[in-house]
Amino acid sequence: MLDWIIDARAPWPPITDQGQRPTCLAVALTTSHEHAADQEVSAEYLHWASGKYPGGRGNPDAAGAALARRGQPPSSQWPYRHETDDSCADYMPPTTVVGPFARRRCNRLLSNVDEARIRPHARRGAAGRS
Amino acid sequence: MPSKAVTDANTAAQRLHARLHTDYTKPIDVFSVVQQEGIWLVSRPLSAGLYGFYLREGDAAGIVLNADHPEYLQRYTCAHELGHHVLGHRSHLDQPDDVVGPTAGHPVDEVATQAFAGAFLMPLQAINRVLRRLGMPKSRRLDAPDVYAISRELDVSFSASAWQLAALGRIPFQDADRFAKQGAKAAKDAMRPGPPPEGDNRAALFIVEPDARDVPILCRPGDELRLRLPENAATGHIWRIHSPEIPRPAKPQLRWDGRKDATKDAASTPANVTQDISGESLLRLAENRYHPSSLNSDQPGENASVVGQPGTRELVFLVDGPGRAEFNASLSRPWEADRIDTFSITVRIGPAHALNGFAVRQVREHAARVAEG
Repeated sequence: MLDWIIDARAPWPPITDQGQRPTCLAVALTTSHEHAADQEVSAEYLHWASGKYPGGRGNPDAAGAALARRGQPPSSQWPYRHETDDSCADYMPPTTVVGPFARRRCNRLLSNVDEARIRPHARRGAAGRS
Repeated sequence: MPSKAVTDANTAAQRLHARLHTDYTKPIDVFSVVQQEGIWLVSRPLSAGLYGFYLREGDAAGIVLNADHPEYLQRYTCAHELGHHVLGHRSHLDQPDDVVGPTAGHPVDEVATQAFAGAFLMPLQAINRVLRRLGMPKSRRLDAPDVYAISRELDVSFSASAWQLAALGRIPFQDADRFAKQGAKAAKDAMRPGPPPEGDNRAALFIVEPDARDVPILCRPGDELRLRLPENAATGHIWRIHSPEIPRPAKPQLRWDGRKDATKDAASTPANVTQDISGESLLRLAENRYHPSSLNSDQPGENASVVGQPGTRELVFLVDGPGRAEFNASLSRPWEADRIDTFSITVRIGPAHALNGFAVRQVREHAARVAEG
């Protein structure tokens, strides 16, 4: 039987269903961003904006650059839909996207995780193995 | 320019098909044709250097094939010997070069019978049907895997198919020569990402993709069937096989001593066996792999830095038989009831050899005639 140290799932928002679209990176980053910023932001916009950086959509570096430089508008301005086709030529933000844009660096996404509570347990575990 | 003997041989093959009202939707059944023509047909082990021979004694004629050869080679040899008969030749022993080798410098009779065999087993009508069925337009330049797929559908050898396609102007003669020298193994190796699951180089290889779901598959015991289905595991949607039934390996049992040690009990892993309706195994799952990128990509690994992109589920089955097997699968998330796609195919598996010894029907008909006499 394993003992829980911290159940980090509890304070996180529900995971968005990405459907069949290859958008797991944008959806995951958006959930992390929403948790860190405590507001709902547009995964669709982040997915689109990732395509503007080297590596393109699905590339972690491109997604990180898009999040830090362009940010994400509120999710209501460009809601995520399962049926959206991001391969068509007219895939771009609708006129409803006006901002504000929440920007964040990827290394700041997990700032809310309580590392201080985990660290002593990790030290004890490491000491027990030696 | 083809010689008159070759032109006459091609014409003779076409006339024979016209007289027999040949069904071009399936491989030409040359064994049945030979029997219908009143020629005795037998398959027996012969010396390694002998493909077969044709005998004519008065009104009686017979063809003997080397039973140690694979079916497609016996079929081609049979068509060659039928050519000797149709073209009015005398008794003849056929060595490898007579049947499948280059024709340069050969007697005109052998050149003509080779042309007859190619035209009879691979007439233009049959090739055009196969090209349509495989989705190969005339504008497409056929590569070695294409030629292999055509040879498999026509149930002829890879090199024979290459030469006939060249003779019909579908591929350049230089390509046919290169393909024939490289052999079927090279073509098959180019169609799969690794080695075959079992070491039978003669086994046929079938690649089945979603657009082929309505194409019936005809194969023989030992053949390799690769089903390639698009899947994006990152979305949670994965293909689940409903038939054949694939038993899951038993889960190992963990035992904890209450302090720091956990031991794993060995789990018995049942063989991956599927059952047909008669209870005999027909399809054996040999591999079940997910390839993160397309198997048809010219640049494997080009999207290695991209996560969450669609990939391919590849299921490799080895075929037993003869008989009939169904494959059914659905694409869904394991925790959801909804299926977003399904895939079904029917596999018909013929006997390893259609001919063994004398043709049974022919012997029975002869016995009946003798009894009536």
